[in-house]
Amino acid sequence: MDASSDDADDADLMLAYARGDPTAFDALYARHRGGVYRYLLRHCGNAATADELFQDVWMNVIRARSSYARAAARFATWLYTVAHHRIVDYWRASGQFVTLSIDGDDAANDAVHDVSAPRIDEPELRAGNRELGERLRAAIAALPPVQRDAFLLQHEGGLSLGEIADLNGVGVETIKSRLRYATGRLRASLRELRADAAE
Amino acid sequence: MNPERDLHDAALSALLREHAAETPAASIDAAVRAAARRAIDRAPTDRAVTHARAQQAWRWWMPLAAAAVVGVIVIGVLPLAPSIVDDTPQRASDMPAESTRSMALTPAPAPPNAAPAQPIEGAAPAPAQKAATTAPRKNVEPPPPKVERARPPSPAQSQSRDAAGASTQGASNASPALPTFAPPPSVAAASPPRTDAPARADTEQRADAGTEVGRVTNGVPGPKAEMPTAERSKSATAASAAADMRARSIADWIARLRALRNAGDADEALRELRRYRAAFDDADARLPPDLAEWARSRR
Repeated sequence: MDASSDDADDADLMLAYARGDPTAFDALYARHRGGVYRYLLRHCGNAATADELFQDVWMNVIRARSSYARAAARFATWLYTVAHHRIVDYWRASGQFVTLSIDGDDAANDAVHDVSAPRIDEPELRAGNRELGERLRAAIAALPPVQRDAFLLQHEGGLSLGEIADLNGVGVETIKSRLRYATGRLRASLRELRADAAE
Repeated sequence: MNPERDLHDAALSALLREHAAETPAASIDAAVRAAARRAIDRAPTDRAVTHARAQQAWRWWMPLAAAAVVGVIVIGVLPLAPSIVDDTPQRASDMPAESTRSMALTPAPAPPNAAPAQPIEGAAPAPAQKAATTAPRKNVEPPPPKVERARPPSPAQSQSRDAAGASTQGASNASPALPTFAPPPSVAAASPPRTDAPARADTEQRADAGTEVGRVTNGVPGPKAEMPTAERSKSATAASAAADMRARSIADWIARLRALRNAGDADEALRELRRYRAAFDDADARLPPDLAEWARSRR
């Protein structure tokens, strides 16, 4: 799938919806509903809360349709910015707010650099696919919020490092550090799962 | 160490996609889509409401703003109006303007001691002039044809004659209290003598008017300021002569009569005596004995 054409299509669909075409919104919603939902679900860990936040995010998109401009940002960036702000508001309201600009992960970088990539094509891993999924979700939930946010924005939203950095108001190097740490933690979790399966 | 691999792991991403089965419930999908359609359906109404509000604001504020602008313009322009009128160019010409010519046709009020206004050929005399000419007179000499131009009095002269006028007012009840405006003695000498009392009262009223005109024209220029210079000076001369007659005190008259008699100028002394008698009813009774004897011989 060509990302640039998708972006152009997203922008066109959003502009068409702003002009009054409801089918454009249906297409746009079908394209991004899963990613936005998982981004929220991985953050809050609760399906009911995720449903509520998910509806809030799309209501904000509907209300802000006339203010959307193609030149401002890619539609995906704009959409995940709305979602990010909503999850930050949720953290604030629930007392789980963490200062996103402070990283406590620099000391752990060296420890995770040597974590090897998982070999998911191995038979034992494929057999334990269900358990792998549960373990992976648990590992993501165990990440610090700032690293989890950077990881989810990259994998679910498809945002670039610069876009993630702009969204969080930090430098690109900080985002790299967060992603490196998150990836290392997830690989470590998968290696432990493989070791358990071998025993 | 491979930083790119550390930042974006394809295998991990594939694993995540494989286990990315979570999606919102169908009810939530329906609710979001319905909200999106409702927002689109409601949009024309919202636009209409916004447009109506904008029109309402326009309807209310624009007349108010227009009225305020008009008010500011009026307040700002009105003070400038006199200066705009004054900016009209003045015509410099030897010929009198039409308005001045029409004013010249109307004779100015004749002072009692000034020569009657020379009637313009073809112009009918004014009623006031007719009354003045037909009024009964006794001891009237034909006035001299020309009146010497009056010079404006100096401030010192005006002050001294103010004081003299105050004393004269007490002596002559027929003369109203007016600001004194006395010409120098040469003008007074050239002035014709006064006639009887009724004619004097009439001419004094005219002189009052003339004095008023002269006073006004000496200050802010009014409509009379458009009169030719000769007319203006004639009126001023007549007015000043009349004022001089009233303002001169008994002592002044006596001093002048005595000076003329001592100088041997019999004709001039006689003329001055006639003017003195015309000015006061009991003129002879007020004279000192030496002048009273001389005056009795000059009946």
